[in-house]
Amino acid sequence: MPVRAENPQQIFSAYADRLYQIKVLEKQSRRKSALGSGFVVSRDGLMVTNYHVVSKFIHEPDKYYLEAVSVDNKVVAITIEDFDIINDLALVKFHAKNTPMLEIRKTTLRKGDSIYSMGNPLDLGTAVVPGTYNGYTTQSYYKRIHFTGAINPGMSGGPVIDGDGKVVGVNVATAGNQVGFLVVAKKLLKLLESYQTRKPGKLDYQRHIEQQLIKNQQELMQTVLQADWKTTRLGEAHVLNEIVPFIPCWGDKGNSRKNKDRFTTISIQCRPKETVYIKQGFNTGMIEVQYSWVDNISLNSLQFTNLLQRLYGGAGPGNSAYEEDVTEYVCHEGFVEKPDERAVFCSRAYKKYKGLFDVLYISTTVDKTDKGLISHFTLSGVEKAPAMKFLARFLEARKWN
Amino acid sequence: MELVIELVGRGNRHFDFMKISGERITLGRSFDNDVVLADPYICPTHAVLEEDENGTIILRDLGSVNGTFCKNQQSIAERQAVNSGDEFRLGKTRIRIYRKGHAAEPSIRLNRIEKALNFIGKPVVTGALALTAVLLLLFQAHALELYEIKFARLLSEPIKFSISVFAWAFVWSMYARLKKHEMHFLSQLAVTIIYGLLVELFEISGSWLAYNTGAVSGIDTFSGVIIIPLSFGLIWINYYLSGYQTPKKRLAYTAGLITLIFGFAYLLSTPDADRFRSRPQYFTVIYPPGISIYSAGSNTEYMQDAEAVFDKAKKKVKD
Repeated sequence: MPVRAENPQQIFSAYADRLYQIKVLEKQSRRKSALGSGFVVSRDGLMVTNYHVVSKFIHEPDKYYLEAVSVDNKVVAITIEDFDIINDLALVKFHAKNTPMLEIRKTTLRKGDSIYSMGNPLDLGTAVVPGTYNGYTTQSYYKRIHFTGAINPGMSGGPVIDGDGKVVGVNVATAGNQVGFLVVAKKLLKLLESYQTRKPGKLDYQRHIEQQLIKNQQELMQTVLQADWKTTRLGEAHVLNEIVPFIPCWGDKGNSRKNKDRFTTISIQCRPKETVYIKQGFNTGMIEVQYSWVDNISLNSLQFTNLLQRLYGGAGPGNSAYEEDVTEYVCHEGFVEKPDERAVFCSRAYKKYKGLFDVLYISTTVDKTDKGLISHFTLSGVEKAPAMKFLARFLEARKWN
Repeated sequence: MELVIELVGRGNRHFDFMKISGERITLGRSFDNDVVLADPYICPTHAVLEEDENGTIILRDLGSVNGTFCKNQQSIAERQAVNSGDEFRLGKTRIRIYRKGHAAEPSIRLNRIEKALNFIGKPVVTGALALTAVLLLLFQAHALELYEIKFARLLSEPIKFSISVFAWAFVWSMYARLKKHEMHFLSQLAVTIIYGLLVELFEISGSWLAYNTGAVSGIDTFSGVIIIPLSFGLIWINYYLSGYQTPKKRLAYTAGLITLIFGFAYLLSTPDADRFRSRPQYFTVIYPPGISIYSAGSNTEYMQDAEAVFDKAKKKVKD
């Protein structure tokens, strides 16, 4: 029976037996390689944690094994049952009959409600952190709960419960200074539902990731491509501004004492706050748009060209990935018109997830030496068709003065 | 008989000519010989040259300790007929004999190459070349400078260039000197400067063409490869200036040195080329509108070509 608890002490003593520490251990050395928290959601031992906590095991199941440790230090072996890479959730399971569990809350909270985050911060032992519910994150595509309270490494995957002991979210990230982020309970309910309806049989982890990345990318790119792209003025050019609310833009004036008598630059950079974590050193889901406007004050035409050249030559990927994840970039170089620009379009393919690419475009105006515009975007983890549509709209959006 | 005896040093280098006449010409280390040789491996009375009744020159070893050898390293028996122009060896000394009437090699003509090399080796010409190179480098440094122009900073490239060009020419001159040949320092310097200018010319025109025609990868490879024949030419002339070689030998030496230099450069570059590059590699040079002749195609055309990168990237997954 859930008990109504009014203070963290009561919360802790009432629900600590449903908490586990999740460990990813390296097979040969039998040492811990990743740590997180988890909580039980069914009588037969189904547990919830973050995808990123167990991602090492998911990518290299031959090299690692999983364990869960209860508050009273009982160690149980666990298996991966399902996961949602986009919302950073994973379901794991140990053998149990009638083990205590947490219920998931189906109704929404009000801003200011007291909620309690639980987990095992920094491998120091189970802790409870009281905090406040502050609604959903704004300017965000993958809506998260904004939690005011300290979430520390190791608490990832732990539950956040209300005073009735019902789960309202899952610890996932922190922005420091008492700003934490939680996966919304609704996403967890969805995952549990799809798990229960899924055909039994062994999960092919890589295919499962591939399907989820492709589906997410289709929805994301559709939202982006259907949006009415707003433009703004940058120098004498019209450039894209916040194409969708979840890709906010920042401005920057790149002028220092060193160059102020020779040229000035202003730039605008738009990028989402969140990306999709696949594994350490490999993330995706980035959509970046960037422009720099350059005014020539006293450079001669060769010097000005050299400046454009430097800005044009510096394009890099918007996400990080290694050799085992992606191919090297393949590029097409040429000129586009109205205004005349030198433009390069590159893509690299995902090695394990068929049909997905990282894409990058950068161009520089080449027909003027008193002013210039560098236009740039990167997309990561997209299919060819939406990437080409994005390029077409990006080219259409260019307008000089 | 009247003979000319030539002492030959290592590497076929000429040491000395001696003109001697007599019925018997003795060779050895003691001072009563007709030809006195300072080689300690030679006996006091080592060998003798005589003429037989048919007028053939006969070489006789006088029972020396270390023997007398024909050119093919065969130890001669007691007597051996030798012809004008033949070579033999006593101890460690190589000797060639000629009859008085032996036809001399035709003289080598001063050829066009030599004339040209002499011309560019004139102080005025070399100076002008050096000045051109330095001015060009200064101009380039100035064209690349985005911030405050500081003369000291502009000079860094010309200084680096001058040092390397001087060092290269100096090494070749020293090599010539070692071979007791004229140093030709100014000619070596001039040739090296011309080489530097040509490399730069090819690079600039190559990248200009690549920018304007869009044939990026082809021209890139071309300007990467052109440096090999250019360097071959430079080293060939360096050899030419630093001593007499048969054309065959000069080609072989040049080819050897080129293989060595580029082989080494290749070995040094491979670990880098194999490393995974997470950034795109593309041609970043652009030119100001005044000196460009590109024609921007339509955006639809650009997009059609751009679309091909997906399939190329996909193909890379399989490799």
